[in-house]
This record gives sequence, C-alpha cells and structure tokens, in this order.
Amino acid sequence: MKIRNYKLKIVIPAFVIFFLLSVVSSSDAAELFFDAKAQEVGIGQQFQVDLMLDTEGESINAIEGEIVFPTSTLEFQEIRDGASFISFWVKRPFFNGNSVIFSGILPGGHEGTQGYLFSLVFRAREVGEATIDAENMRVLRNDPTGSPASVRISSLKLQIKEQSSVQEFIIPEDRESPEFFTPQIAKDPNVFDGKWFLVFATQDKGSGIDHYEVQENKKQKIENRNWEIADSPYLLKDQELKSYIYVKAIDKKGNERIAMLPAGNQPSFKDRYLLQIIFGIIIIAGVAVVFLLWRIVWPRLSLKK
Amino acid sequence: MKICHLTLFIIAAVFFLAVIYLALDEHPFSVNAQVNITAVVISNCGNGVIDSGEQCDGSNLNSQTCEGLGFTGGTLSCSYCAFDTSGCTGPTRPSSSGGGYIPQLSTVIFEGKASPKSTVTLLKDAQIAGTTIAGEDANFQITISGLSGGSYIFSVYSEDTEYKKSSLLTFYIYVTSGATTKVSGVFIAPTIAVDKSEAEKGQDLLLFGSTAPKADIQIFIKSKEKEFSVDTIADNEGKYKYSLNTGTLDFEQYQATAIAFINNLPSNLSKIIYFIVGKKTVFKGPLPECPLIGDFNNDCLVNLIDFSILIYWFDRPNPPAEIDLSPDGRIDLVDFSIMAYYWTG
Repeated sequence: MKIRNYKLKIVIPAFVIFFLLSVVSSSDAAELFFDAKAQEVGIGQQFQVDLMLDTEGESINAIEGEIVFPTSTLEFQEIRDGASFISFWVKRPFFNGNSVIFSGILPGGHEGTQGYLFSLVFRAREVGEATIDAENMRVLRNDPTGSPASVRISSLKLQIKEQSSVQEFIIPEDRESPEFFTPQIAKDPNVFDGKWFLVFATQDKGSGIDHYEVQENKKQKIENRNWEIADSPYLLKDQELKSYIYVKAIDKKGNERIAMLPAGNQPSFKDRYLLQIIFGIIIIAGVAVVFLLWRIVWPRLSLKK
Repeated sequence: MKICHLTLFIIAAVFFLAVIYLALDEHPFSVNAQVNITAVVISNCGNGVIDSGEQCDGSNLNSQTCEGLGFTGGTLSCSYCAFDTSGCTGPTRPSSSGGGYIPQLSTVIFEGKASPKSTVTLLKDAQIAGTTIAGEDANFQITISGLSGGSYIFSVYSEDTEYKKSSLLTFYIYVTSGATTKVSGVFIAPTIAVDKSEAEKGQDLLLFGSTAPKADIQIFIKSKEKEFSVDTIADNEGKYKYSLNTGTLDFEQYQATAIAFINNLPSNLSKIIYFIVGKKTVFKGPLPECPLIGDFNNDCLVNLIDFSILIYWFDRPNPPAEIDLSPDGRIDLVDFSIMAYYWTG
C-alpha cells in the first residue's frame, strides 16, 4: 500500500521499530545486577557489592563473565564467594588488575530472582562517580544442549563523596573451616598421559576457598614443610600409590580443613622404615666400634706407655 | 669386665630401640567426620503449623525474616517447610564475639516420595552426601549431620529398579547453626525412557518410567512445529507407560518430559529424552545406558572426576572428541553446562 501521508512514513517505521525493541527488551532474559547497601560512599570507606542473577523463570546451570570497574576511583579489596550458588568454579573469581573474571556451573540448575554469585569489597579512592559493570557475560540453560539464555546487565552507579553518612562495611569474621570433603584418585587416558591423578573440591560457607595444598607421604604423618599448592586435577608424584595423601583446603581467612587418603598400595616394611633401619645399623656399628676400641686398642696403647 | 661389656651392650640396645620406637611412633590423622543416615518420623508439612523440626510452614515463617537470618534484605519464603533464602539479598555472617570458637553443628533431614525401592541420592553442594532406598510405599528419609551453619545447595534424585535416573531436584537452604532443619514433602521427578531412539512413522513408540504408586502422569511432547501432552497413571508399583502412535507425527526430532502428581501436588519435571519419527526403527539398548553423557571414566556417574577431566582440557587445544560434549572442537562453558545437566554426583 502506498503511503501518501509523509508523516506516516516516519511514524509507522518508528512505531514498528519501537514495538520490536520493546518486545525484544521485555522477552525472557536473565538479568545480572549488582546489589549494594547504598548508592553513595565516602572517600576511604570500604563497601561491599553483591553480584546477583535473576533467571526470569529460566533454569540455568552455567555462567561466566567479567566484572569491570574503574580502578582510579575504586580500590579492589577482596572477593567473597562463600555463599555462592555456584557449586564448581571453572575459573574461581580472580582479580585481573582492573576486573574480576569468573566462570562456574551449578549442577541441578537454578531458577530464581536472587541468585547470589559472589561479593566484591572495594574502598573508595576519590570523589566522583564509579560504574561497576559486566562484560562478556554468558548464561546457559539447564538443558541437554547447554543452550544460551539471553542476559541483560544492570550496571551499578555509585557516588563517591568527601563524606558519607552511610556506615562503612566491615568484613565479617570467619572462624569456620571449610566443609568436610573426600579427595579421590583416578586415572584416565586423556589426562596426564594416563597417570594417576587426584581430584578434590569443597566449599567454605564464610569467606570462600582460597586455595588447596597437597602432600604425599609414605608414612601416615603430616610434614608441615612438604605442603605444595595444588589445583584439581593434581598429578600424583607417587604413581605406585604407596603414599598417604593429604589435601588441605584453606579459606581466605586462613582456616583449614585437611582430608586424608590412605595409601592405595600399602608400602612395604622396608619402604616405610628404611631410614630407621639404616640409623639403627649405624648405632649398632658405632657401639661395636667403641667396644672394640675400648677392648683392643686402648689396652695396647696403655701397655706401650 | 664382663658386666661392663654387658652394660654397654644394654645401653646401646636400649638406645637403638628408643630410636626405633620414636620413629615408629606414627600419629595417624583422623579422617574427617562422616555424614550419618538415619530415619525420622514424617512431619505434617503443609498444615500451616510449625511442627517439630520445621522452620516454617506455608506462609507461616515464625516471624523470621531475611535480616533475622543474617542477610541484608529481600523476601524470605518457605519451601518444603524449610526457609528458602533464594529471595534474600547479600548474605553476611555475624562476627564472632571473640575467645575460643567452637562451631555448632547442624542436621538436615529430607523426606518425601520417589518410586518404590528406588535408590535416592542426596547431594550437598553437588557431591554425594548420602543415599537410601525408598520403601514399597515410595517414601524415603535421609539425614545429613555435622554441618556448619550457612547456605547450602542440596539436590536429590532417584534411580529406579530399572536403572533409570531422575532429574535433580535442587533446594537452597539456610542451615541454622546447632539446629535441625527438616525438608518435608519432597516429590522427586518421575524417571522417563523410550524404547526406540527412532520410530518408523506409523509405529507405536513406548514412553515409560517410574514414580510414586498411583500418581497421575502428564507427558509433554514437543518438536519445532508441534507441542502437545498425554496423560497416564502409574500402577501400584509406581510404573507407568504410554504407547504413542507416531502415525500423526511429522518426520522430525521430538523431545519428551514428564511430571507426576499426587493429590494435585506436582513433582519437578523429569529429564528430557529425545526420539525421532523417521523412516526406520531403531531400538534403544538395555539399561543402564552407561557411559552417561559426561561420564568420561565410564563409572555410570557424572561427578567431580569427570568435571576434573573436563577442567584438564579447558582452554587446551585439540581436546579428545569423546570429551568435547558440544562438539565444537574446544572445551568451554557449553561443555560444562551439558555435564551439569547430566550430573549425578
């Protein structure tokens, strides 16, 4: 139909575009948003910002992205992920200089309006406006194909003033150890060229897991100097599985939980007590030498005198 | 003289034995406490009254709020007679008053229905925390103890007597330190399977599975072009089946999922299964269908070991084809998402 009215030539396409945009923007899309106690802080004040997800009726089971913020106005302090709904981190949230990168999954999926991912703690540096935003976000549905869910981001704008009446955020104390856990040993032709490896994971309901350490010991004993920082999967040094394996989970406040796996193949008596046997032989040999010196050599020396 | 020789020898022997003893004095490190599985009386969840072991019941939250549980705000709700904190914002932990700190341990009890004699598995933060066998009446109870206070993600699923696994039913629960939390009225999704991966158009295709006895079943069938549902009822042993005539269906791939109802109360949705209406018939193999998708080490489980195998190849070039679940030639979040869907713990 030919449009004769010139005004309609503008109005109708504009209306169509507006309608399409409104349909697109109101369609089901997960929303990533930031929750802060206040929209303004004072210089030098510490504050916490929570990263939240509203799945808008979808069940999702994987999420990744990057949280960006101006380091000129915000001084990054720490990440708190202890109560996250993420069960396993593919990339545990880490500070990358001017952003925080993360990636994780939640088996079983999550559907809800207030899915908590983690918190960032900042200190305000200078007066001005600071925007905390997210980039490269991916949210995947809890379905057999990992199909993507659309996600919209609601950034957070904060005002930093000379002074603020808002109470400063004090990082809560965490005195509880990470959760109990049981490491497992496995072997797979596609990992570490088919060698034995160790897998482990646990949660910390307070400040979150900071890192893990592992040691292998032929004796059922922890040697404090033998701990090594480790990630799962961890290639075992003792491929004969004769060692006791200890895994220590440490949270961000230094609380620890140690789990032990007994030696898969019990070490032989010789393997376990070799040092003691050698030491014992040296002692006996030493005693024998002293005895001989005293019985044979000393009398001869005395006679010569 | 002889006495001196003897004394010297005894001293040396005692010294040697002392060294041996000290070296052998191992200090075994006790493995952490294990979780317990016990039976508990089923409560009357849903009557609006907070019975023993219940945190809440329906809209009755016992005057508790998000702020009262240590969050900064939001809306507290009640799910299966336990606090649902998914609507609360910014969890914070109360600071300690100082001095020696002894954490108060908590207990969580899950009870509900699966299919008769199925194995019910409870996951805590996606790892197996306990299992039990449902009774002939399909009722089950699982208790997990030794928990510290805080937010947990629990999931339950069942494996029926024909090795079919249900989907995961997930709960976000705030566990109060030193208290017992009861999650009642859990109704695990029905299991679902199909006898053919491809049915020649016109042939019947059998959809079947297990749930609670006498439950009403609604099966949703969907393709790109079509969407419809069919109804059936489980028998006294909880088994259900539906013979789908493919004569009226188009040549394409379909997906099916089921939901069960008892007294109009629904279970969660079952797993999604696929079948094709085509020009030939292909029967599915016997159950269990191991390895499962994501079950890289072929132990009929999709768990932390498989996750670790995938992590090993994350961002590495040329991953093995059997690990590339997408498959797109790389291991990325999509592969992890697919694994998370088929997770068993």
